[in-house]
This record gives sequence, C-alpha cells and structure tokens, in this order.
Amino acid sequence: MPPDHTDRHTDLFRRHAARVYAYARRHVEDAQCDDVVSETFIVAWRRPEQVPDDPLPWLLVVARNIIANQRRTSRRADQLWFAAVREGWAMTSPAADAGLAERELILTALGACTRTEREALLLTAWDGLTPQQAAVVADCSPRAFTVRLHRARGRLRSAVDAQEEPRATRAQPQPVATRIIEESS
Amino acid sequence: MNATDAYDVLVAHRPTDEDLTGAWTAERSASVADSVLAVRHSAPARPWVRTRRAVVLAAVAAAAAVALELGPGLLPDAAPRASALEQLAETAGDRAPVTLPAGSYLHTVAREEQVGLQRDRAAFDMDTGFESWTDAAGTVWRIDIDRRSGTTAPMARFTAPTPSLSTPDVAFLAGLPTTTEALAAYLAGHTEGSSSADEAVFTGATDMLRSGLASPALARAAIGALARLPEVRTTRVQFAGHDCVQVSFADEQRRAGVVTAVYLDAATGQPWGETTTSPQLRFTRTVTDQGVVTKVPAPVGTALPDASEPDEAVSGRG
Repeated sequence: MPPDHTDRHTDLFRRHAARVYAYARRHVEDAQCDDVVSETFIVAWRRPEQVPDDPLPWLLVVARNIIANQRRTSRRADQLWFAAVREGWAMTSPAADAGLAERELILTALGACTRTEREALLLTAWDGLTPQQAAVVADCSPRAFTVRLHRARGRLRSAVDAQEEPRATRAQPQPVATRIIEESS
Repeated sequence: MNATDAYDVLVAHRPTDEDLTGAWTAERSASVADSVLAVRHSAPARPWVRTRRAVVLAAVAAAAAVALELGPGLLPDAAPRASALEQLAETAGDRAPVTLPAGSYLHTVAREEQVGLQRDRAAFDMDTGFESWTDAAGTVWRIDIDRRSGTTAPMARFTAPTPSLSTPDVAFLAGLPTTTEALAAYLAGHTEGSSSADEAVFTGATDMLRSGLASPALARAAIGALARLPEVRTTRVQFAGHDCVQVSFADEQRRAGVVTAVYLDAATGQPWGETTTSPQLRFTRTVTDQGVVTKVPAPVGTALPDASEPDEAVSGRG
C-alpha cells in the first residue's frame, strides 16, 4: 500500500475509532467491542476506495454489518443500549442528584420507544449523524428515517411527560425497568 | 425538563470524545490499533473481510469438564480429515430427520463459558447458559442464565427479519442445495466478512449444522463442504460425554493462534458444541440437551413482544 494510504488509514482510526466503539457498545457486549472496532477498520484498510470523505456513517454501516454477522439469535441486545447510554451519559448538571434523575428520566423514556425509534434517536443525538447520514446506517430512505425520527421524538417527549406527572408525588425517581426485546439486525 | 425538549436533553448529554476515553482508553485504542496494524502488515488481502472471532467473544461456554476431557494435546492435531469427514457426512445423511410440525419446537439447553487469557482477562470471562425453543419458522424463545451471579434474564422472543445461514428457518434450509458441490458453491457465493473465503464457508456450514434444523441431506452436504477446506483438521475426541469428531479450522497466516472447532457426534453427526481458542481467550459452548418438544413453558411463550416487528409490537405502549 502506498504511504499516503497508510497515513490516511491511521488518521481515520485516530479520529473515528472512539465513535465506532460508542456505536458498537450499544449493540454488543463491551468485551466484543474491540473486535468490532478492529474489524471495521480492517475493512476500511482493505477497501480504501470505498471510504467516503465523510467516513463516520460508512464506518458505522460496516460496524453494523459486522455486528449482524457476529450476533446469534440470542444476544440480549436490548439490554446493551441501556447500559451504554447510562455509562456514556455526560453529566452536565452541577447538582449530581438532579443530573442522575434527569438521566434516569430519559433512560426510562428511551425504554418506552421502539427499538427502531430508539436507534434513530441515538444515531442522531449521540452518534452525531444527520438524518441523511443516519438513514444510511439505519438502512432506510432519508424520508423514512425523518418520519421515524419525528415519531421517536414525539414518543420520547410523551414518555417524559408521563413520568413527570406522577414523579411530583414521588420522593425519588424510579429505576428503569428495561424491556427485554432482542434486536433483529 | 418541561421547558426543554427531551431530545435536546439527550443531545446535551452526548458523550464528548473526551468522555469516551473513560471506556475507550488510550491503552485500549492502542491495543486495537495494533491488531489492525498487524493485519495491515500481514494480509495484503482479499477484497473483503468478515469477522468471526466474535462468535467466540459473543458466546461462551465450556464445561470445565470438557476442557479436561479434550486435553490441550488433542486440539489441533491433524488426522486424515477427508476420509473422516466423508464417513461422518454419510453418517449424518443417514440420520433420522428432525421434524417440527406446527406446535412443536426444537428445545436446546446449552452452557457457554469464556475465559480470558491475558491481562484484561476479566473483560472476557463469562459463564452463562441458555435454554431455547425454536419453531419451524425460526422463531426463538429463549432464556439466558448468568451462572456467575445466578440471575436469569426474562424470556425473550426473537424472529430474524430474514432467514439466513446463522438465523435459519426450516423453509430457508430446505431451499439450499443438498449436494456437496452445489452447497460448497452456494456457501462460497453467499458468505462474506470472514478473514478468508474458506473461513466464511466454514462458518456458514457450521452455522447450518449448529441450528439443529438441517435435514440429513443438507447436513451431509455441509460436512462434505467442510472436508474440502484445506484449513480443516479432524480429531476423534470425547466432548461432553459424547464420542465426537472435532472439526477444527485454523489459518495461521490470517488469524495466528486462533482455532475454531465444532464437535459432531461420531454416530449421528449431531453437533454437541464448539470451541474457539485465541491468544486472548478460550470459548466453549456445550449443548447439554436437545430434542423436540410440543410446548414452550407458559411464562415464556405468552405475551412477549416480537422484536422483528418492533413498531407494531409496542404500539400502544409508552
């Protein structure tokens, strides 16, 4: 391989490996993430001509396919997003209790969304993709993704509102009851 | 919260690159980069790649007794693989077919154990088990057990959106070629992503066998396809109390130190488990019971959302 390809690939890894990891963490066990990241960048190494100028969506598609190849019918994937979001949640509130309550509130609301809605929310809000980019990762048309995201935002909002009413009478936020639904892709 | 849209809250708490270094540490990143670098140096490569190593990572399981029974000296030694596999293929072809009429399920109980072998071993160690019920349409009801904590996950139901080699249903498998030559060609043309074409064929063929749903004719063809792979070796071993042919795949050039093996009953061709060893870990899955039953236990089979239709399945919730 020419040196510029090697440099480009090294730079690609340096700039995007963490985001590929964050995506993988929502879909496979943490112990498997290194493999997903590694294989993703091996694909990029072997297919340099396919890596676009804006590479993150492409990398996430590769990661998605690798994860799909790895997964047996039995992965408990729906539990994984929950742990990943909880662990990755960036605390911005100066009050720790308030920050935790807010996190649990959103986690519960995310749990009320469907799998595809939740993925739409996290692809854009957490992976930082535009709806057009996220549509590629979600394997649907931009229009379909936009509709899905709109619906997801509405459901998320409703779920938060539904919690806040009874919350006023509770001393502490309730823990999230994670729904156990396998992911299918 | 009321003044701020929930989605905006989510965006506001997106982990920054710096936040991600809490889990994606510099050391971890460097380790993964090294593994990529090793491939860059060693594999000029086919135009595609596929990961399979995570099969290992993903699953787990190895009855300690199994490891004892096998013994390290037995693992990858070669035997006259062609004749052993040809004989096994015929044996599998003569086996009585597994039939799943409406209202019946393939019931499987298995243990999965994974042991880390290097400094970050704790990240790999797992000891789990599962019990599953699969119907002819490929729908799986499954319960997972963490043997270390003693906890049992709520039952889940899963239907693959599209049947595939790794998530097949009876109809999908019935549509596959049943001659060795045709099936080998099919696998070569329909598997991708592994480190090599041969590894992909090995994975595809063993996926079919592992499902327990392959017809005798298909199992015979799949074992025949395995016999054609130059990286495959066979050894007669005792695995989980069964007289088995260990069919192992190793490609030192592409995956140094990695050996993947399936264990097929010498008398029937039935798969009893699999192992993968690598410099990082050792994984074993052992099927402890498998057979056709006529019902799924009530708490498992009722009122479960189907992940294959998430939108419809959860409508009305939230």
